[in-house]
Amino acid sequence: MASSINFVIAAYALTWVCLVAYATYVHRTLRRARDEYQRASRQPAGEAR
Amino acid sequence: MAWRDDWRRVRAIAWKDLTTERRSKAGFNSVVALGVTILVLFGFALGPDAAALRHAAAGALWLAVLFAGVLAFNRSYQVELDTGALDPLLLYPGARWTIFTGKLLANLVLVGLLLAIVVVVGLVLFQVSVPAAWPSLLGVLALGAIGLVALGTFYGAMASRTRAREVLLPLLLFPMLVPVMLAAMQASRALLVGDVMQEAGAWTRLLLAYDLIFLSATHLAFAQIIEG
Amino acid sequence: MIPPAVPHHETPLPVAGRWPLFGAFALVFLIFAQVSSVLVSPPDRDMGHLQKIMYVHVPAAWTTFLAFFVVLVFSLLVLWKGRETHDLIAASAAEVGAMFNALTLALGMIWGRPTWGVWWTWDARLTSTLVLFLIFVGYLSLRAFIEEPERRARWSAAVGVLGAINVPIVYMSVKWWRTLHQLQSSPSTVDPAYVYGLRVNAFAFLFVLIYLVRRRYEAARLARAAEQLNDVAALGGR
Repeated sequence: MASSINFVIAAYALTWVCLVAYATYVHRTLRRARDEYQRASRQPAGEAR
Repeated sequence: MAWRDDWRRVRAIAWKDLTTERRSKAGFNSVVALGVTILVLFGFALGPDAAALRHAAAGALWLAVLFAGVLAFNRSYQVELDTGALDPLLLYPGARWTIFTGKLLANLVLVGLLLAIVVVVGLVLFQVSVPAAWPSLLGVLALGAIGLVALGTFYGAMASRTRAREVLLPLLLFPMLVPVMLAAMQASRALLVGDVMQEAGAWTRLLLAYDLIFLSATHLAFAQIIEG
Repeated sequence: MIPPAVPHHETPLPVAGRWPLFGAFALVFLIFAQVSSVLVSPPDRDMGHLQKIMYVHVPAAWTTFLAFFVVLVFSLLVLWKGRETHDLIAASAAEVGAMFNALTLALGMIWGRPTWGVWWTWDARLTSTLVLFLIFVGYLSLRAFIEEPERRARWSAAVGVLGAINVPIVYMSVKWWRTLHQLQSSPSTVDPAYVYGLRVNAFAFLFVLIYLVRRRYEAARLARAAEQLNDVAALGGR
């Protein structure tokens, strides 16, 4: 069972890698969407009904 | 009466789909040829040991029908897509579910035929003799086909109208068919090689429940996906 | 933020507000949960230290199912009310759920390898989780191939609802498949000593889920609004 500690470490490491990587992706997507939105709303869109 | 009109529409659509398929010379024949080819490939994958083949026959058979069948599901919407005939169909007053039921029945006939041929060829190739319980086997084949066709016709309505229909239909359909495939394969195998543990009955009940649930669900949801 | 000349939205755009703060809290709480549960729990009689993997594997699984439940609820809402915001919530939950699903599977395999000697055993729960993952992937793939937002919303909703109906059926059939061939299912004993660890990690994962879905939804709404503004501009502001 001594080597099983490696699997435990691998499990926790994987969990953090996964969560951090995905969170980074979400924040990057969010930033890009926000920029896109600000760029779009600066366009001369004319009169809106 | 509304009911009678609806069912007339169902029959009309089913008949139209079937005659279209019959007139397109290469269509159904190619699907059957593909099913048989897949069966042969499974033979290579699992054989040549006779015992292994007999044990795997039911699984290989259903997979061959599944893989060849997906072609039929996309094709069932082909005519409407090519000719733009779907919109006029939708303009007709009448319940949307009739379109679904009509196509479902047509597909059931085609897949049923495919299944029958693949089973016969499979029994020969995989050295399985016709079991004493063949009426029960027919029941399992029928219930499995219904589940397969119900979901195939439903997802085909969506996948056939996207750019990636060849991959999208299997990708959406196969996970949904896990219970059907599992039950049909296990029940078929039990009936083909001897139902030692009487499991065919349990699997058949699962197939029945699955068919009832998803026949209802697909009919209810079809209106949502056939528009626009 | 009130932008000028903007098309009518059914609901106002979500703003970041206090959410980054909540994110920071979720992060800290997760660290606390993991550290405290690892330190507090003794090695299991049978599993030894491997038991600690349960503190991430089980909450990840619960989070996956919760995310899919959110997909189900909002898919039903889309089919019922037809509001785009509900579709975007469902899609965000599906993406985050798929991530947790992949994590659950990987952790299940990491736990299984030293326990059973193999990376995969067709265990009923793990197999059902794999099928669920494939359903998630199908849902997200379908969305990727549909351009029109309204069609995408309705079609994904139908796929989401049907997928959700299927999950318990899949689980039952795989379980039957295993038991009929007299194979043991994985042990599900939860010693009371481990309840704290599971509970605190479950909450930690829940907070992370809420945060990620919310931010993902925020991004989706902004992207969609930008798209609508671009459409309006392309039409000459009419």
